[in-house]
Amino acid sequence: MRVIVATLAAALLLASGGAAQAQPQPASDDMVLLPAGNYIPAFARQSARAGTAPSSPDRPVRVDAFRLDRYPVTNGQFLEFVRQHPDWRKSRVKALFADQHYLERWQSDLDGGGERSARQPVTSVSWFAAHAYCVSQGKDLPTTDQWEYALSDRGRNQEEVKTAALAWYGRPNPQTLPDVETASANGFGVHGLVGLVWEWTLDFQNALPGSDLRNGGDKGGGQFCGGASFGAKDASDYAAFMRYSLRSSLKAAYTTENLGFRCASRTP
Amino acid sequence: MSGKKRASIVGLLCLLFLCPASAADRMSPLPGLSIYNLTSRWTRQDGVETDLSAFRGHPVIVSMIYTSCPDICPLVAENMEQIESALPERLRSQVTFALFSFDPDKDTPSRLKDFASLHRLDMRHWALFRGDDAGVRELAAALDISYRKNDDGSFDHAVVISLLDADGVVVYRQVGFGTDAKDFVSHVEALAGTK
Repeated sequence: MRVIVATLAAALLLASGGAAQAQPQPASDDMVLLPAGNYIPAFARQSARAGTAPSSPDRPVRVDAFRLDRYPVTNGQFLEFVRQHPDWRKSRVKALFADQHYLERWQSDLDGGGERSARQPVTSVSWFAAHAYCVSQGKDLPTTDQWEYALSDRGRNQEEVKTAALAWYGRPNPQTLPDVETASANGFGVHGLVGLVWEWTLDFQNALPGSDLRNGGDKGGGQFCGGASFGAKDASDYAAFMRYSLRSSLKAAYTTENLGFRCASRTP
Repeated sequence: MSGKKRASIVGLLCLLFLCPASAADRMSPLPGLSIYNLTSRWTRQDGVETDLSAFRGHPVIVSMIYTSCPDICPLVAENMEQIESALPERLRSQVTFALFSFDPDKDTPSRLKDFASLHRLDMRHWALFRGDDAGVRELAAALDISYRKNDDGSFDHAVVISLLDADGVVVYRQVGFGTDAKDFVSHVEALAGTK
């Protein structure tokens, strides 16, 4: 019995040609190479393990070279993904992987808003969906360190970035999101890290230092204040505080209309 | 014969829709919230490869650890052992105690086996697993266990012990060190009672 099924499966895979290929290679032209470097996180890493002293708030973190998508993933790109991976269509996605607002802006399984929204960032995607998308491209979600390192931009224009971030965070979500190309690039050549959508990171759960053991991973409402005010590099960087707070308030199945993602690739 | 034929059709459909192979054997669809919807592959301490839906059919008490953990992880195993010994004999044999490693790099099957021997885990009920990076991330997210690898190779991680029902849905969980074995026992009894 098993043999028959296995044989059929093999035949199907052969018949479908390229579908059996395990790991597609990332298209590097849509990605930006970020050289290795250091950045100082807005909130210090602090191991919560017994006997480990908290690290100094302004200790730099080393980030290896990596590639990052130039733009957030668009509706058009995500539509292609759900075409090829039906389990991630609106009507088919499992409750474990996404809440009921998954792809809320989409009209139906294979209608992401047509030409008009094809170049807009996809939103209302869960961490599971974002992760699956990146893995399907032979990539991964960026770690919080990678993402924040990209934003830190080797110290270029940080005041402008802060101001722009605060201005954007203060605006209500627009009815229609801008096309990804309209967002300006930073010194690394990465577009729209602030000003388009919030973005998932691979380790979003650990955005705040030492929060995991102290609160046992149970994200209670009172957690941010205690955790975030501790070890903050720059108390005036309210924009960074908002990013870290948002990330630690998320669960992997959550979706919201202003939360999207982009992918990273470890191989430079 | 017709049963076999039906099984092969279900198996084929499942392959087309990328269901895990062992789910095909059980035929009924998994609940949407089932952890067994994850399709990651895992290697058990004895080297056997499996997917999560292999657990389907009986309750599982599950947590995540790494074996080079100096302080917390042994406590997690001990807390689970307390639950094991608190269970009445008739229920104990029906429950699997599963530990999944955060650390695919170091936790080879033989390391997992050593951890099991060191803690004298009763391997009739216990199983330890190593996955790949993406599988570990997804399982930790599904069980809502936050963790982070430190520069020195250790991990910070939440302590969460969860009870899965026969279909892999989390029906009860305890966060932190103060595991109350009695609560787990009553939840396992409730699961057994509904069968």
